[in-house]
Amino acid sequence: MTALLTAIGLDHRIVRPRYPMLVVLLAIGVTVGSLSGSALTAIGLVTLLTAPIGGSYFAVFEASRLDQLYGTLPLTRAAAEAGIYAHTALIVAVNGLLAALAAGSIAAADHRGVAPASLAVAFALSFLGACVYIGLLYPVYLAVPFSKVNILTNVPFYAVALVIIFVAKRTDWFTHLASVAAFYHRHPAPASTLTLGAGVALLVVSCSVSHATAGASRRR
Amino acid sequence: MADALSVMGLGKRYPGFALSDVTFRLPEGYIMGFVGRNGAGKTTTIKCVLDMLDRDTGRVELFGREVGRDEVAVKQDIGVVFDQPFYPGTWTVAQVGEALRPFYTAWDAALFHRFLDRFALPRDKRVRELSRGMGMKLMLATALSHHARLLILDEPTSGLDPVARDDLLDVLADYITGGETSVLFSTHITADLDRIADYITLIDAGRVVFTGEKDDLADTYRVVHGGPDQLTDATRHCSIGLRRTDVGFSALVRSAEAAALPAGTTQEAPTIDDVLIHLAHEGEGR
Repeated sequence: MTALLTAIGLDHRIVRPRYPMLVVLLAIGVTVGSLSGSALTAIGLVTLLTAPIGGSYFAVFEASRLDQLYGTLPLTRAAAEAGIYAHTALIVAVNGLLAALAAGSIAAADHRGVAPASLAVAFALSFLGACVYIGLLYPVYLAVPFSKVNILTNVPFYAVALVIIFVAKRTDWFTHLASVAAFYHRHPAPASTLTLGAGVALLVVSCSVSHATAGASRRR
Repeated sequence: MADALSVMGLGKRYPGFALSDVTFRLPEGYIMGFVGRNGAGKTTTIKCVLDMLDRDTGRVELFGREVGRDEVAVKQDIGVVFDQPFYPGTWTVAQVGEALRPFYTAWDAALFHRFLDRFALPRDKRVRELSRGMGMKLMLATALSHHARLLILDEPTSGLDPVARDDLLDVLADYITGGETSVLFSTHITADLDRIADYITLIDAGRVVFTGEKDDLADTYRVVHGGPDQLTDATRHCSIGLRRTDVGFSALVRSAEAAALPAGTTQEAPTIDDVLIHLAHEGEGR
């Protein structure tokens, strides 16, 4: 546990110069949410877009040859990799919660009260979305130099978005989501907890995959 | 005498290049020059020693502990200097120390700051603003500030001016005083080694061609000079590396075989550079 915290501390120092971008993102997200009258939009926007800022770690990693730094430090590869995931998840969570707090407060001040349960559900679903982003991309970033894959790695997400639009237009598959939405509506606390847990579980699985693929790349 | 570093049968294969059976040992309390041309395999060997690369074959031990088994404990005892700083460019010199401190149980902040003073490194200067010499000194300060028992330097002097190189050699000479610390110093600038190295390991094309005490290098090989008439089949057969010159040839031979060379040739003890240069001509002229 100490090694993980030490690794997170190092990642925090590495990404810290990018933190002002998180503040800017928070301000933009909350402003957009306020103007559109949707606190939930603010939470989604901020939480989802914080993940790529966390991923900017890999640009610094490559530019500053941090593989050599990590190679010299008394830190296991597993702890270093887990630290990278945990650090990104933390900044996503903190920025998302700040967005929820700010957007909720603005909505309350504007007499457009949003139920705390709705804020929690929006945060949990957005966090899960960010975890999908992290979970899919970090194994690639840990195995292949960032500059070689940076442009291409967003393509799958555009492809998925196109598929979703196509499916939504051609089928009634999304009507089934009504039951899911109802579940979140009826049981917001357990549903949010389950969603957050699913996000964390996804990160754990992805981190394990990263450990295996990064190990394979070291052998080459 | 215990070994600080022991490399046994190390192998690592890439397309077009392979480390083959790299074997050497560095006793505690000494400085070893790890010498070879660019691309000879020095950095690959060092990365295998640091467990940054998985080795295909062989075994590496640091202070008797196998590398890869107890990574954290092993690396507490190692300080590493590469040819360029490996810290984020946005960090200041002082922040480098703050960032590394939590990793080392024996981190000595006072010692780190003494090194910053000794090297005249401004604490508020960013890593990206450091000159090459200052960057090397910063790595050296961090490598020495956790009381490492083994210092590994990979081409630290390449690109440094003579004054900065001299400073580095002074620091290494101080570091080694006491007999419990050791240095593996990878370089292709052999003048540095003439001054401070006790042991030499020569690597060429992924193979160790000599490892032992520096003085033994001169006893193991001879450089033979001769005219065209002395370039006989016997000379070619004995030579490890042969260079043709305007007036004849020069060849590197094993001392044991030097007596069999034709009369009229002249022989002398080789420098490290002589060995490297002749090895580059290995197989030529036969």
